[in-house]
Amino acid sequence: MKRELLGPLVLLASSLALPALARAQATSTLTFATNADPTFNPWSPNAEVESDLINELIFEGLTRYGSNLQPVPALATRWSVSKNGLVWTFHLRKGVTWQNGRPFTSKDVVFTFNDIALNKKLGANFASDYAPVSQVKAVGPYEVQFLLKTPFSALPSYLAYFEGILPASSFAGVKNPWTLSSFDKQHPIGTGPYQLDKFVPGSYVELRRNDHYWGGKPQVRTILFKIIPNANTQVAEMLSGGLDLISLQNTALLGPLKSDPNLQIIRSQENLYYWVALNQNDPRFRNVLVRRALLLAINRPAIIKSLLGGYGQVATGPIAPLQKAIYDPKVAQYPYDPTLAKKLLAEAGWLPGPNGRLEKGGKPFTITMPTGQFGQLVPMSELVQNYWKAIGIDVQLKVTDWNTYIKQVVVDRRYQATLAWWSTPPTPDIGPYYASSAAVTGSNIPNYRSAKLDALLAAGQDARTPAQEKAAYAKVQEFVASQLPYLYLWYPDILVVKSKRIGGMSDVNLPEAFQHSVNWTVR
Amino acid sequence: MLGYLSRRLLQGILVMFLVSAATFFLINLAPGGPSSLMNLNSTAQQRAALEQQLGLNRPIFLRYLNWLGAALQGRLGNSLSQGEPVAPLLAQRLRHTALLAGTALLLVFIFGVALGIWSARKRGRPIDHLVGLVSTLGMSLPEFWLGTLLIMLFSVRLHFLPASGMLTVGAPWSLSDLLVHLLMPALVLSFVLLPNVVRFARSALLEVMEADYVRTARSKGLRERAVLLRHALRNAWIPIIAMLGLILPQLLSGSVVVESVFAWPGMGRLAVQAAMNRDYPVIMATTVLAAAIVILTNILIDLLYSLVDPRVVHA
Repeated sequence: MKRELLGPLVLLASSLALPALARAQATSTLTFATNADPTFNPWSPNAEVESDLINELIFEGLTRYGSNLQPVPALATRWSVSKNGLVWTFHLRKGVTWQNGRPFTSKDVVFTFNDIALNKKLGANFASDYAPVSQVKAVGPYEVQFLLKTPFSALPSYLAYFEGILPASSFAGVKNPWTLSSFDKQHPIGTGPYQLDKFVPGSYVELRRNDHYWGGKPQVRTILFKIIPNANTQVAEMLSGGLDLISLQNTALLGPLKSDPNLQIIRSQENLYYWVALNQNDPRFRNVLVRRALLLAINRPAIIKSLLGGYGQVATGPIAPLQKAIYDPKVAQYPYDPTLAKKLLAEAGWLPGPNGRLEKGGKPFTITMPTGQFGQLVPMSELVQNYWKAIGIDVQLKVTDWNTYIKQVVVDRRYQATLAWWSTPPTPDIGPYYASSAAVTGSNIPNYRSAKLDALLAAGQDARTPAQEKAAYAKVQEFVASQLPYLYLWYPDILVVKSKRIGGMSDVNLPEAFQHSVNWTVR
Repeated sequence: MLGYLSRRLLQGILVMFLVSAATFFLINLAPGGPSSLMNLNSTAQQRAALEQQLGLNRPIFLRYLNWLGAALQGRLGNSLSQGEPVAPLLAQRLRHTALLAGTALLLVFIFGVALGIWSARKRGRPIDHLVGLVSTLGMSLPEFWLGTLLIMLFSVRLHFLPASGMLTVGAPWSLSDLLVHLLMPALVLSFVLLPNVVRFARSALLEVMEADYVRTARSKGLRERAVLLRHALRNAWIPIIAMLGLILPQLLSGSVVVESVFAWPGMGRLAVQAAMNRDYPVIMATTVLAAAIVILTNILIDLLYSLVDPRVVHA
């Protein structure tokens, strides 16, 4: 190309490009990212992480999270529990309208729970959270009762966790709500502060403010979600001013974002912890000495430093520190100590053989550890493999795609050890992941069964006052830290990169911030 | 000619049938399942309910026959992860991919042939080596790396081009907006395909430049430009056209990566998402459609031979 042609070409391209970039910075608009096409129905099995935050803006639950992550009023203004703990009564907010102008009443709540969440034929998202609920009953147009099989003190907290109420009238006569694309792809109707204006599959979602929102008119007029699957591209968009907020999974991408004066990095937390599950169907792992030894052998601070860039802290149990009122750090600790690990294994009968590898009755200690290609699971598993190898255990890592991994580990439970994570509502109720009833078919991945833990969990669900709840879950935390149904690894920080244009957004965590979007401003 | 065309089309239909059967059985027999079922948080009860709803508990042969019967009537089913009919989903994305791939192909064709000719004419000189070096670079650089590099340069550093998407979100449609969004992905896609065409064009031209009829043309006193354009290039077209047919599958697979890097809402991205979500109807539709595009393009290229070279006769 002749050099003299470059000048005019540059001018032409910049004249084409600059107006486009300038438009992206329009005031009273915030632009976020999501990684795939969303489904505008929080209960749909197709609505996953790509849909969660968008649905938080369109739909609302009976409760939402306050700044301390305790449930506070949303569509319900107050609630109470019966003396026997088996009936929860929720008083609904009056004067709330759906985004199509119809009034919100108890019929919608009854429909959302009885016909969607509790309908076993549908397999709705979060259905397993509501196992203690037998049905929901309307007492009047603005009062509902949750009738329970067993006490369920965590109910108000679950109701705030991405579990928006749906309009009954939109689903009238619909057999399968998951195929109603006229609702969950084109015209979702919620009571939230934003409503869908436009959805261009593969490109973007445009939400405009709900001028009739019961909580007042939102200050930000438009919220856009660009659909960008690639994390590097999201970072580039953030740096070029095309996005106002991203959540960062990989800390290696943080470098250039840190030095941008227009951005701020928020270290937030969710109730998220990584673990290693040791399959309790394997008799070797039923010995608590073996479980303790395997945790002692992992240098968790070193992994946090190297793989998470220091953004995280060692986990002590399933209740993360963000549950300030409940979290109890004074439980059994397992600092990195390979010598003690070998000693405990020796007590359990695992002694070094002629080649230095541990064996018992002539059988070497080998562990098959499947891992899936998702986030940093593979390098994390490799590090655990190395630490266990250092104390004489042969770990065979089997890497598969994520889908195959779920089938093998979660569905079939064909594994000996595996590393993954739980991200749960900020409630101390850990029953769905620990109760004996959740072993094999539920989310109790290690298939851990303990009558004592079941009783402690039931006592927690029966707590009536915060003091009772704290005391009950202190015992749960003490028990799980001592018995290690899972080996607790770390609580990672959730890194949120936010443009300084955004005002009024809470830094607690994104689910909480998105439930209070009415307070957002554009600076 | 008509007989030849019918034979090729029948062969194409058979290939598409085999592709559809192989794809269907491979994806359905692979461990795992649609992402709505294979969710870390799903319980056995939730999975059983969804399996029933999606009909995945029926025998696999029956499901294939159902799919085939419906596909022959133009019904491609509903996406398992989107809940929407596959055909309109695909039609929309195909248009976007056609725009990106078509632009890239045009750039590849124009610049590939031009650079090939230039390189052939300057054989052994520094410019020939430079073109060879750039070609090698193009063949070695992965699309995702080059794409990210360009985004960092033109979007992040220079604020010159948008980093992703097909149009500015929230802005009215305009051709200039589309072009600035198209520029980087099309360049990346064409850059990685360019070397094939450059090298083919160069070697094809070098071969014909040694031919007797070129020597005759030169000895008649024709100017070099006329020798090149009227005599040499015309005979070099066949391998170049054949090459364009061969790079089509590369173009389609390249667009998968480029669309993901630049968040271009095309068929490639849809296919990747479908593969990750095990969205069987979408995987089937994108695979069969890609096979149809490759088969039809190859038939078209075979027909083009006879237009370019009258000696080629299809009987």
